[in-house]
Amino acid sequence: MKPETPRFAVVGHPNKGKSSIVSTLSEDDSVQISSIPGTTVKSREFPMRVGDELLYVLIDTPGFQRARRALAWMQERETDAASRPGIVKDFVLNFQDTDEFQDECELLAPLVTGAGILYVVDGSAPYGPEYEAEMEVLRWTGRPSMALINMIGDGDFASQWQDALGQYFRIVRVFNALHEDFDKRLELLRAFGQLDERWREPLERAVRGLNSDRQRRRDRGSRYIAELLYDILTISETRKIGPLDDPEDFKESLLEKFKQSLLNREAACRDRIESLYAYHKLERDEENLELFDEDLFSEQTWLLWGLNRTQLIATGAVGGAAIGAGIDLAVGGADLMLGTVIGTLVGGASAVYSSDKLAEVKVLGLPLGGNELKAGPTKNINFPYVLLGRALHHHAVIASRTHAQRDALVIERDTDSFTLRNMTDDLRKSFEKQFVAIRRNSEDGGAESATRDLADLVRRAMVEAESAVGSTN
Amino acid sequence: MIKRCSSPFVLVFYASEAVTFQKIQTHVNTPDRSTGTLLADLVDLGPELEKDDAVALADRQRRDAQFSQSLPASLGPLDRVSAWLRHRGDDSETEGERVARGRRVITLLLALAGLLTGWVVAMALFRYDGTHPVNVMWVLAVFVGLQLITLFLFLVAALPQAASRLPGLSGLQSALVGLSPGRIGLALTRLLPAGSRHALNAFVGRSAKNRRLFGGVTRWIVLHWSQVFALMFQVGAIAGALSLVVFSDLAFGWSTTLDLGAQAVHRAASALSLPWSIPAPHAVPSLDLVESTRFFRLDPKRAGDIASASAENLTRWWPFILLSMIVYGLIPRLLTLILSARRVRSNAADAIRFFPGTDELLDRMNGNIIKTQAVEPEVQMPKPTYHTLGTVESASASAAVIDWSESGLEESAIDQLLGDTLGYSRGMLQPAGGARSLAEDQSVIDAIVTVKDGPIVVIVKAWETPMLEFLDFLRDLRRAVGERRSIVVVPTGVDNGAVAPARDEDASVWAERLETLGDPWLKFKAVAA
Repeated sequence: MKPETPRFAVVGHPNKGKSSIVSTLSEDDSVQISSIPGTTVKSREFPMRVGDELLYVLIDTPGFQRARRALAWMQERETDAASRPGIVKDFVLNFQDTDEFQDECELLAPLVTGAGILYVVDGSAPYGPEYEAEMEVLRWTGRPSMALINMIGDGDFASQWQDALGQYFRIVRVFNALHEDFDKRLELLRAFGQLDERWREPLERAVRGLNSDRQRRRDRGSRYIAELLYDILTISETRKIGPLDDPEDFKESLLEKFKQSLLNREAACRDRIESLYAYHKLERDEENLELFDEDLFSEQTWLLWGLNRTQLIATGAVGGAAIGAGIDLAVGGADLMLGTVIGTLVGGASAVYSSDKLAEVKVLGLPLGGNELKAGPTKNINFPYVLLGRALHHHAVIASRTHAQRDALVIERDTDSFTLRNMTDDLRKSFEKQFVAIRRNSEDGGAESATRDLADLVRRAMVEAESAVGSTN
Repeated sequence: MIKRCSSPFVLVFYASEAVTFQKIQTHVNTPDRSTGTLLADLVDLGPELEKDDAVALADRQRRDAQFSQSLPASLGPLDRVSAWLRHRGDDSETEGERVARGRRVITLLLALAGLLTGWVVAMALFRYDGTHPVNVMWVLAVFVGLQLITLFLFLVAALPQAASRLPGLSGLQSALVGLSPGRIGLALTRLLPAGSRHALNAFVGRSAKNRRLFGGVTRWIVLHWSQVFALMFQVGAIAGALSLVVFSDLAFGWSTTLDLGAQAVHRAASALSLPWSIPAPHAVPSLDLVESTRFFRLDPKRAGDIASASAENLTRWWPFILLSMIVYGLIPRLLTLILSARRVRSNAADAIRFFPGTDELLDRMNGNIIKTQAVEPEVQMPKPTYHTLGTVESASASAAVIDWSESGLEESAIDQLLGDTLGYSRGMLQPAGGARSLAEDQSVIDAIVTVKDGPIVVIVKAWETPMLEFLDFLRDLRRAVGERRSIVVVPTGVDNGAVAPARDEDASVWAERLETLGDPWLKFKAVAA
C-alpha cells in the first residue's frame, strides 16, 4: 500500500481541550487556549516536517456549535448508510459560505478531504447526551477515527466516557495534554498509525525524527549550560579609579554591576534553552541567584597595553631571567646559573617597584596606566555547582513541560542539593577538575575546547537530573 | 550589500593564510573570504541578531528558510551565516568592516615598523668602516640567537590549553602574550581614523567582557601581529644585509672574549650549516676560514693576522650568515605566521559558530530540521458586542422551568435551587436539548407559551459550554413568549443529583456568552457557593 501523508483533524465540543492537545503535539505555544468558547474560529494546520519532507499534518478546528441541527439536515437527505459520507460533503458545500454552520463546515472540511478524526472530550467532566449528535455526524463522515479523553480538570469521569465513546470510535485513549511526557506523546503519534495502514510509515519516520530532535536539544542544552558555567567562572567587572579616589566609594555599584552581569547571563541561558524547546512566551518565576559571602574585590594596576600588575611582574622576571641567562652563558655556566636566578628576582622586583611609577607616566597627554578596581570572578567552589543545579533543573522542567501549559514556569529552590544529590563522585570530580582549569585559564584562549569538555559533563549530569525530575513529578 | 575587500597589502601578508585556509575550509567557494571577513562577520553578528529579535519568530523562520533556498546546498555553516549577514546589510561600511580595516592598518604599520627596524639593525651590525671587520658573533646573536629565543617564547605562549595545566605555565603564557610586541598593535589604535579606532576599541572592550567567545580571537590577533613584526624585521635585516653585500665591500671576522677556540666555533658553524651543507656546501665555513678570520682587538701582534688574512677569506662568511638568517630566522617565522593566522581564523570561526543565536539562525536556514508548528498565525476572533444582562428581582413567583441538556438534578433539587437562588416556586418543568431532537425542543417552547405569566428559568450545566445551539433555543423562546417576560439562565453544578455551586470561571463564561444576545429581559444567576 502506498504511504500517504496523514492528516488529522482534532475535533470535538468547544472548549474541551482540542487546542491544548494540538499545542502539546505540535510544541506550539502560539495556539490560543482559552476558557472562552469559540476561541478557535478557523481551522489551522500544523504541518510536521523533517527538512522538506511533510510527514503529517495536525489540524486544529473550531468546536461543534449546532451539531443537532446539522445532523437533522443530513438525516433529511439520507437514503442509505452508503450515502452518508456524500451527504456530509454536500453539507460542507452547501453551507461553507454561510454563517449558519460556519464552525461545522470548518471542522468537517478537512474530514471530507481525507483527514482522520481525533475526537477530543474532557474526561474530568461527566458525559452528557449533547455529545451524541456530534459523534453521529463524525460517524457519518466514514473517516478513520480515534477518541482522546483529555483530563483537563480534577474530576475523573474517564470510565464513563470510555463506555460512551466505545460505541462510536474503534480506538479510545486517555491523554493528558498538560502533563504527558515526551514518550507518551510519541506513543500517541504511533497510535495514530493504527487508524490507516498507509499512515504508519510516515508516522514512524516522524517519531524517529522527533526522537533525534530530542537528542539534538539535549546536546545543545548542555552546550548552552556549559557556556554559562564558563562565563560565570570567568567574568568580572572592572572600574578604573583615580589615584586620589577611595576604592570603597565604588565597591557597592561595582558589586551591583557584577551581580547584574551574572543574572543577565543566567537569564540569557534560560531564554536560549526555552527557545530551544520552542517556548517563546514563557513567564518564569524563579528566585534570583544569590552570591556567596566572599571578598570579590581586588585592586590592580592596569597599563596601556593591557598588562596587569601580575603580568608586568612576570614580564619583568622573564626579562631579568633572559639577561641573567646571558651572563651565565658568558661565563660558561661557571656561576651555577646564579645569573638567571638573580636576574629573575631583580627583574621581578624592579617591575613591582616600577609598575606604579609607570602607570603615572603620560604620553601625548594620555596616561600609560592607572589603578582599577575589579569585582569577580567568584572563587567560591560551591557557586558553579549551585548554578549548574539551577540550570539543570530548569532544563529538566522545560524538557518535561508541555506547550499546553500556560502558567508561569516555577523553578523551586534547593536545586543545588538537587545536583549534588544525583551526581556520582566520578562526575563531580570531573566537574571540579574542569572548573579549576577554567578558572586558571580565564585570561587566555582555549575556551572552545574547555566549553566542549564541560558540555560533555553537563550532558551526563543532565540525564541524571532529568530522571530525578521525572521521578519527583 | 556588504562587500568585504582585501587590500593588495593584505594579499602580501596573508598569502600564507590563503594556503592554510584552503585546507581548513575546503567547502568555501566564495572568492573573497578572508580573516577580515570572518572578523567582520563576528563583530556584525551580535548586533544583527539583536536587531532581528524584534521580528516575529514565524516571520524569521519563513524569511530565513526562503533565503537559504537561494544558497548552494554545499555551503557550510560559516558561509551561511556570512551570506545571511551580507544579505541583510546595505552598501555602507559595517562596524565589523571597520574593525577588520583597523586590524589591517595596524598589521601594515607593524610590518613597516618591523621592516624598518630590521633594516636599521642590519645597517648597524653590518657596519664596516675599514678598521674592524663585521663581527659574525654579533650578527648571529641578533639575527639567529634572538630570533630563536623569541620563537621559543612564542611557542610557549601558543601552547594549547591542555598543556597549560602544567603548574605555572598558564601565568607564563599570559605574561608572554603581554610581553609580545603585538601588544603594541593595541596601542597603535590611537593612530587609526576615528571610525576604525572606535570600532576596534569597542571590540577589545567586548573581548574583555566575554573572554569565552572573543578571548581566543584577540589573543591570537596580538600573537599574529607579533609574528608579522618579527617576520618583517627579519625581511628588513636580510634585505639590508643583501644590499650591503651587493653594494659595498664587507669584511667579516669573529671575535669573543670567551675562551672559545677556532675549533669550537667551527663546530658550531658546521652544526648551524647542516640544513644547507648538501645543496650549498660553499656556504659552510671551513676551519681555515674560521681560523683566519678571528681578530683580537687588544693584541696588536695577533691583530696582524686579520690584516694578513686574504681579502677573499674576509668576505666568504656572507653566504653562511645570509642562509642562517633565512633558515633560522625567516623560515620559522613564516611558519609561525601561518600558524598564528590560522589560529586567528579558527578562533574567529569558533566564535561565530558558537555565538549565541547562531544555532537558531542556522536552524531557521537549514532545511534539515524538524518543524511542527503552525505556518500561519491564528485568526483572531472578532470581539462581539456585549449587553448588560437584567438583574433577577427576588419576588415570589411561580416559574416555568426548562432543564437544558439533562442537568442531572432531581426534581427536589430543582425546587431547592429555585427557592434558594431565586426565591421562586416551580411551575411547569420541561426537559430540552441534549439528545432530544429540534422538534422536541420546539414542542417545549410551545408548552411554555401556554403559561402566560411568571418567569422562565433555564437550568444549564455550568461546566458545559454555552453553544450557539443553546443561544438559538433562547432566541426561539424569546420570539415565542414575547418581550418583557423574564427568562433567567441558571448555570449550576451537580453533585449526585443535588445542587452544587457553579465555578466562578464557568459562570463568567456563561454570562459573557449571554451578554452577546442583546436581550434586555434575559437574566442570569449562577448558583453560588
